[in-house]
Order: sequence, then C-alpha cells, then structure tokens
Amino acid sequence: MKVHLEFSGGLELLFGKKKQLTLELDQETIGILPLIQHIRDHLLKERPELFVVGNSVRPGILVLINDCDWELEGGTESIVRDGDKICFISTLHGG
Amino acid sequence: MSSASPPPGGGKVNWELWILRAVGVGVALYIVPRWVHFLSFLVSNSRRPSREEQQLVLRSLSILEDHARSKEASITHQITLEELGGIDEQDTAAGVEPVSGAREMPMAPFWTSGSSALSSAEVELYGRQLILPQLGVAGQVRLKESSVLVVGAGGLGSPVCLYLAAAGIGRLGIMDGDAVAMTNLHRQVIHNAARCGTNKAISAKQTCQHLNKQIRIDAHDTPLTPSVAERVVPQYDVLVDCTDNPAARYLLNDAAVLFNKPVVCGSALRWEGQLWVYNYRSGPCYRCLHPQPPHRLDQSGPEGLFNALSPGGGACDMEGVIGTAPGTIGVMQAMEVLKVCGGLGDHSIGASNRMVMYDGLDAEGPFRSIRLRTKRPTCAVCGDHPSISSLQDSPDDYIDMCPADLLPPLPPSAHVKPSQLASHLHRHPPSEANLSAPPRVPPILQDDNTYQQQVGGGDGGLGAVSVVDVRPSAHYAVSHVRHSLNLPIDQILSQSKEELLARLRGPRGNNRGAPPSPVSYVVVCRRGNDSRLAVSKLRDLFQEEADDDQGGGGEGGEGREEKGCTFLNLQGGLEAVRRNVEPTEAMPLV
Repeated sequence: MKVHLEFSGGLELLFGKKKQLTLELDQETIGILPLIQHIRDHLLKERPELFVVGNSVRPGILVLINDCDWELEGGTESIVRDGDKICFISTLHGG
Repeated sequence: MSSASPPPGGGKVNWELWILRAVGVGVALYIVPRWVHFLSFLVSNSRRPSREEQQLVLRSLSILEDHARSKEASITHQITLEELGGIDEQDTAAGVEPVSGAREMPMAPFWTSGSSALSSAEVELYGRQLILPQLGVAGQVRLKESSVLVVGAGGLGSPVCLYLAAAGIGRLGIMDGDAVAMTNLHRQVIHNAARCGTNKAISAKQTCQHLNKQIRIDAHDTPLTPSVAERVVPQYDVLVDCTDNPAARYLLNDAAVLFNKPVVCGSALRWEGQLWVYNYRSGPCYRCLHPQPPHRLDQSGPEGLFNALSPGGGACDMEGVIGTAPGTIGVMQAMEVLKVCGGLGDHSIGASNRMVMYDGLDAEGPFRSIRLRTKRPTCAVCGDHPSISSLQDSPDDYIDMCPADLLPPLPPSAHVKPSQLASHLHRHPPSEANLSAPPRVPPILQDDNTYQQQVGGGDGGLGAVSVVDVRPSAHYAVSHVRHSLNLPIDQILSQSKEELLARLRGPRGNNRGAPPSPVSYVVVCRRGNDSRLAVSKLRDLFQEEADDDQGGGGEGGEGREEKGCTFLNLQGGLEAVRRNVEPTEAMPLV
C-alpha cells in the first residue's frame, strides 16, 4: 500500500524540511498508531519527542485523514488504506 | 431746427450709423411680435394664483432654503472636523473623545432614509458595502449594534482592528498589555514608529478612531488574566483571538465558553497561518480540539520542553514571521467577524466547522480548508460534565509557559551575569589579535568565522572566554558577538559528542580529545533559555568525557575543572547584555 504523508505548521522541520513524503508498505491496511510509530522509526530525522508522545502524536498536533480531522474517522482507532493522504499539522500559536 | 442734424463730416453720409439703425429695426421687427404674443398670453391668464399654486411656490422656496441651510451645515461639519484635526495622541491622552453631535446633517424634509438607525454620514461611509444584497441596510445596522473584543493588537490584531473599525462595528474593544516596539512594525501595521513605547491597545485605538469617528472604541491596556477576562468578556458579543501564546488562548477559550461567546481564532508563524471559528453554533471549543494544553505535560521530564522547542509552539521572535502571514489571517478573521455579526453566520467557516490553513510558500495550493471534529462530550469546559466552571479555579493556571521554569537546573557557578560579560567584552573586545578594537565600541558586528577568542584574566573572574551563540543561524547572521561561534541549539541537542567537540574545537582547536583549555565557554542566546539548555547538555557531555579520559576515576564535578574548561550560561541572554551597551541601538538584535 502507498500512503501520502504531509507535514506542516513547522513539523516539516523534523522531516528534513520535506512537506510531502510517500510511504510504501507491504501490508494492505495499517492502523494510524502503528503508522505513527513507523514514521517515527523510519522517517523522523530529529527530536522524536516533538512528534510522538507515548504511542500517539504530541499534544498540539492535528492529524488529518484525507483532509478530515482523524476524530471523525475513529481517532486512534482509525485505519489507513492504500492511497490515503495523512496530514500532520502542528498548531501555531504566534500572532 | 431739424432734429436730423447733418451728420458730422459736412453732409457726408455716415454709413456706420445707418447700418446700426437698420439692424435696430430688424431686431425690433423680430422681438415686437413676440412681446405682443407674450402680453396676450399674460392677459389671457390674468387671475389670482390658486391656493395650491401659492403653496407650491412657498414649498419650493422652503426647499431651496433648506438646501442652502444644509449646505451651510455641511460646511460647518467639515470645519469642525478640520478644527479637531482628528483625534491625535495628545487629544486621546487628554481624554478628548470624538464629537458625535457635529456630524449630523439636517435631513431634507422631502427625503426619507430606509432606516432611521443609520445617519447620513454612516450611509455615506458604509455605502459601498451596504449596497451588497447579502448585507444591506439591515446587516449594516446589525454591525452597528455589535460589540467585538479583539484580544491582542499585534500582527493579527492590526488588520482585524482596522477592518472592523472601517466596517462600522458599533463597539470595538482592543486588549493588549504590551508596548509598541520597532521589531513589531513589519507586521503590526496599525502602529507606527512614533508610538514605540506606547501601549498597543491605546495605539491601535488611536489609528482606528482616525479611520472612523462614528464608532465607540475602548482600549483595554492590560494583558488577559482570569480576572480581566471575567470583567471584560461579558461586555462583548464576539471575541477575536489574536493572542500569541497558548496560555492566553486557553484562557480566552474558557472565558468564551463560560460567558457563551463565539471566538474567531487566528494564528500565524513563519510563512503560515491558521483560522477557525469556535464555540459557535454548538460547535467544538479550543479544548475540544486540543484537550491537553502544552504546559500540563510532565514538567520535570524532557516533555516539558516541548512548547519551548516545538516547531509550531515558538513565538515570532524566535521562529520568524513574514508580516503578510498574520496580515492574511487577520484580514480573514475580520471577514469571519463581519459575517457572524452581520447576520451571515451561515456563510461562516464556523457554521461548516472548518479550519482554513494558509501556507504562503505553497505554490500549488496556498489555502486549504479541513473538516474538524464535533464538540467533545468529555471536554473539560464545554462538555457534558465540565470540570472547569470558573476561570479562577481552573486546573490550568494559565501561566504562560515560561521555558526557564522547565529547563534543567544549573548550579549558580554556571551562570554569568550580563553586566559581567558586557564589561569583559568592553575591556577585551574580541578580535583576532585580542588588541585592536577600541574599548567603547560595542563588540557586536558580523565578522569572520574565527572564534577561538582567548583573553587574558584579571577581569572579574571570566578569564579566557569563548562565546558560543546558540541562536538560529539566521538570527546570528544579522548580528552577533564578534568572533563568536554559532552552534544553533537544535544542533547541540541532536549532534553527537564527537561532532560537538569538532565544532567547539573549530579550525584552530587543539588536538586533545576535549575542548581547548583553559577556556570558559560563555553560551549565549537571545533571552537565556536555549543557552541554559545547551549548557546543561554540554556540561553533561564533557563531564563524561573528562571521566573517560581519566579512566572513569569518578572525579565528579572536579573532572571538568581539571580539564580547565567550563560552560557558562549567560543569564538573560544578549538582550540583557544590550542593556549594558551604549547606545543600545548599536547592538541590534532580532
């Protein structure tokens, strides 16, 4: 399966300044939490604590599955399928 | 005597005179029949004018009179405003409020406006927007009857206040506890250079009142605190979140939920911005989206540093911001407010529960909108069983996340006072030969990349000093301590011991397996937080190094001393040093 990843709100800085990445996996589907762990283990370039806390994303990061808040798709139980677009967005506080 | 005396010139015919007479006759022949016709017309109509006709004439005269009077009034009105010269700083300081009575022009008695709720001056001012069928007079009246509190008069608040004032929001509240600074002006365009040092709420009010004298503007020159929120928030219909830190955002959210006010929320950093409307039409609140505030994390562990170092959590002064990013989001916030207040709430992004994200560097799609979750039944403030019922007893204390409180503790001997470093650098201006620069020149100027600055002792205990600047390289590039080494904090945190050692030794470093000695590394950043973090890691690393070199002799803290190398944190950062420099402007900091 192929998953399209997007990072914004500054998270791209943790991924070698890449805003978009494509991930190829051998399985048919993957749970969002295992996906997050996979990203942490294989794609993250620095400071994993800024991306992951425990088994999920750090508070303040919004996760979107195909441009929808993951809470609408099942939250941490969400299942990611081939071709899905997953966005990780760090909430901005500047003003 | 003949009346026809011979023409002068001895009987000679005066042709010119004859021609004139002929023309006169011709004209008379032309006019007389018309006179006759006119007279006969008069004779045929000779009667007293009727009562209606008399009244018609009188009314016409009165209209003419009124018109003249209104012309006069309008002239007087202009003069009054000119005499006022607008409300300037001194006027506001002296408590002068805009004159509201002088602007009303007497209405011509034959004319009636669609609504008595708008004056002719208001109709003129807002005409271009109130002819929009979606808004109309009724919408404009709704705007006039609305009150909006803008919290934060910075990069977002500037366009929000300007556009809301211009659009005729009847009562505009502007809250900010900060003063205008030069570093604000590239994005906080409501202020100006002459107002540096003035409170931002007061400065914003002055600009807006110049723009529109028809509306009431209240400046709240205080930061948002629980008690301020309890006093001020209930006075307004709609809140606009233009704050710049998570603590204020959570506090404003809780106040909005407790007092039942919708919030138009914006944020911006670097080239990006985010916008949404919350606590609106049974939608989610800020806590529904972000149940866990950053500062509730375990403050003793590394997680406590998230906010200080997180990619999105930083502030504009650390991360940088292009002025048009908050400008873009602020203008869109104003648009959302106008829809919510003007009766067009169905068109608000709050009605569709969406967040708009803007990335100024995205050539493909700078704008995108995402669908957000619904209200969380378990939300701590807006849920079914809220745990927060008052701003005073909230589990969060809304204290701004101050990284210094979360940073690892350092022994007192690991700190350098800014005055100590300033005086040291004045006496021993860093230079290649340690000699050249005159003593009163501030030692801040970009120079070469030579940094192993060894200075003799006898200067208050600092001894040989090497300055390590842990600010981001873009900040360093603007200005820095001459011959200092730029080793950004993210590199210090991510690089291995060997890499760091190589950086610290530099091209001129010695060949030993430790930083050159004897030397004190004074680690600096802008405010003294990142440098503290860096010193903590460097001490840990090279403490181990010293122990390893001694075959694990377990010398503890003395191991470092024996290597003759110490890492010192500059307390308060370069900003504090700047206060010891004359003139301050000679040491620009970004």
